[in-house]
Amino acid sequence: MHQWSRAESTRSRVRGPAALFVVVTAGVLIGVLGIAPLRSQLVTLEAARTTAPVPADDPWSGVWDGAPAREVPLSVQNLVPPFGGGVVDGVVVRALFDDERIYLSLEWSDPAAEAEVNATEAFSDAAALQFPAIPGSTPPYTMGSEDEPVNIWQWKAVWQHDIDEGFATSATRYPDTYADVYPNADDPLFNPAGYVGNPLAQRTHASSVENLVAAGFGTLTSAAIQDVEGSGEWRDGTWRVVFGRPLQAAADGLAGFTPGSSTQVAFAVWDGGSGDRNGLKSIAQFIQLDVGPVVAPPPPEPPDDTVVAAPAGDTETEIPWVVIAVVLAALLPVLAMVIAASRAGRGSAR
Amino acid sequence: MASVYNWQLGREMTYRFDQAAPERQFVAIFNINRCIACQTCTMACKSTWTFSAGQEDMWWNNVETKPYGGYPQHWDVKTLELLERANPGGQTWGGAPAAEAPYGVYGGRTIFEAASLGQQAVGYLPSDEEWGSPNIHEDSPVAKAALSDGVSLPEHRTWFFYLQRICNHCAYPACLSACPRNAIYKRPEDGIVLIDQARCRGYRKCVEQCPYKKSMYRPDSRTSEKCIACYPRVEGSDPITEGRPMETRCMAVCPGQIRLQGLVEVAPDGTWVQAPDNPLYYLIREEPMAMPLYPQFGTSPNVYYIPPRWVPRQYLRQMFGPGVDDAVAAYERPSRRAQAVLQLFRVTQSIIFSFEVVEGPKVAEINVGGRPLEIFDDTVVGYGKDGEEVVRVNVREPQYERPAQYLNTI
Repeated sequence: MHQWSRAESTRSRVRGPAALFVVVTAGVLIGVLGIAPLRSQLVTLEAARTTAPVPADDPWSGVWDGAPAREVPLSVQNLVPPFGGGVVDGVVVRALFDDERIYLSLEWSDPAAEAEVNATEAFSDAAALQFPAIPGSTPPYTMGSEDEPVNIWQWKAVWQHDIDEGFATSATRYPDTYADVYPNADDPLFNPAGYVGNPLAQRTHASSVENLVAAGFGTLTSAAIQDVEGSGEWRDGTWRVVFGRPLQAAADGLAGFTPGSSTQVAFAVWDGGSGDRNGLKSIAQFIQLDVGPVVAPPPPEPPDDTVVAAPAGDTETEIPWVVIAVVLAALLPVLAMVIAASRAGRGSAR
Repeated sequence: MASVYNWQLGREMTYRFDQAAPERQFVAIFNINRCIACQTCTMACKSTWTFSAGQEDMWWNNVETKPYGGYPQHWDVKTLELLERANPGGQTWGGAPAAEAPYGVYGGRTIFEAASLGQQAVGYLPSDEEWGSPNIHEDSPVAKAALSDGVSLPEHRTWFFYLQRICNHCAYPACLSACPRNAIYKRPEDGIVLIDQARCRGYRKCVEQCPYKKSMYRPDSRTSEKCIACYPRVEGSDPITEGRPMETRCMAVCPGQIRLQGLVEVAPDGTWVQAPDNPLYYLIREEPMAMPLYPQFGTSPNVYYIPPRWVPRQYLRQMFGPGVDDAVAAYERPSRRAQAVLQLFRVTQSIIFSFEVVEGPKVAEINVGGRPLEIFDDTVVGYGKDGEEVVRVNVREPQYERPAQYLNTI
């Protein structure tokens, strides 16, 4: 039924010389000056093994005191409309694991807790973790792609409120609202979103964390298996949220965690008081998540019956950015001369 | 951003999606001149669709009093102001009317073109207070000026009029382009715009960016809902229709007979396929007598209005575009054919797909604006989807005279 197709993304009109300039600049920045535009990718969070129980219903539990903490800067989401967010500028992350489960904790400053969505202008605080859905893949942190989907765990203050204090309706906010009668009040048909199984419209939740999958912008979908537990509690201007889940994925398409190996995790925080929802959020790119000390994989042994020297194309090599930058910088004047000559040629042809 | 043709603006404009016109488009005409603000349409809609908890302030159909009233309050001036701020003094029209530019060419910016980087359109999220008190204070006169000499045509000095509003099921819906989840879609068979209640996550971007404010948030389902154009009636799947496409509830109940609704055929490029025997096409494109509401917003709305003939033209031009002077003139002195077509409003629940006029005798000659206007008792016949006759009415309404012996009796 959907007849609208997504418009083709605006094609880059950057022409050759400009593109070259961008490449050279990036090369110089990365290679010579050591400035990485994706700084948070350099951060590694190591989950610490714990033998103490980690309560999923107590984000302020003392068990987290021993977990190594990393501060991850957050920034405004300005990659895809609607742009927004950026009010929360950083989040402190911690991770623990035991033989069965992995736990992550987020902590960020927020002067006010917003946990109700029962008015047109009311939006809920929230926080989310994003993992590659396929083990070992490196999906774009922009909610993955068709080939490399992601698994997202979103904790919602409003679901926490639903669990702790009951589902807040418009009547909760406006208790003096009067209606003569609500015909067919018990008929679920007249709550269409709930009737068709929209998880947002359900009155009860097993967890304040929703398990979601995505394969690019606009594709976010609640997962069939809801096995992420968690809770959040706001104390004196700070939210603490804990997430917990079995290490092993319950199904394909959900993140898996193996002690002694790495995966990636990205973060997003929504400030309901600033109107944050959807793409209006403060975000961080993927960082490395080590599940305990990472054991280096043994060097691959050459197969017995093949030539020892592998073809050059089969091995990945570190890209020597400095060399590329210097070479490109040296080529720039040559290219400029070529372009000037070609323009002059076209001019005389007219 | 793609480029689409908006014939109401007489030009291409930017939009999030490529041109993808429906085969037919849901279209309605409201004759403002005849509305008495009885709110029967409002209550018919309310009692059909929005009577449940969380929908108390949700009125998919509403009738407000202009110039001061609005639901939500000040919805139109707020959006006009956003356009003005983005493009000061630039919201002007130019060029001569042409075949696919019947109102000339809009030289200003649409809500899509005025948007800042990272947004699909300019817009705002109304507060609960603005939704909460429809029609409040609208009947309170605020000035005595010009009461004695303020009500002579062509423009009253003391004036108001009723504006009947439903979702415009726009050709280029701002709600649809606003939704980051693509949870809103426009049906290819009739152009009706719907929110998928399974995909909506209550972000309210549609509420924010619909310039007509006809997407509404329902706190009890935590999703946004909107007018569904009574699609089971329009598609003929509601049992009451017996398979014959039927007008929506708000159209069918109108005691003032101000509404006419149906479907027009749309070409792949977004223009309307010529159909002078379709009553909607005839009044909107042939006469033209009915005008779109705030065409400068750029969504190409599909509810058209026969503008109130007593209202200062400057106000009407802002609200209905530069074609409004001709529309008022066409309504004040309706052509013989228009006199017949105007009889089709609210005389059958069936959607009229085409009409035919059978000429009758001249029955009157009246004076309009110092010139004579001939009235003919023509018969207009309305035909349904399969060409079957669904209604037959005369220009002169039947009159009955009560016999003398029954005077003062019930």
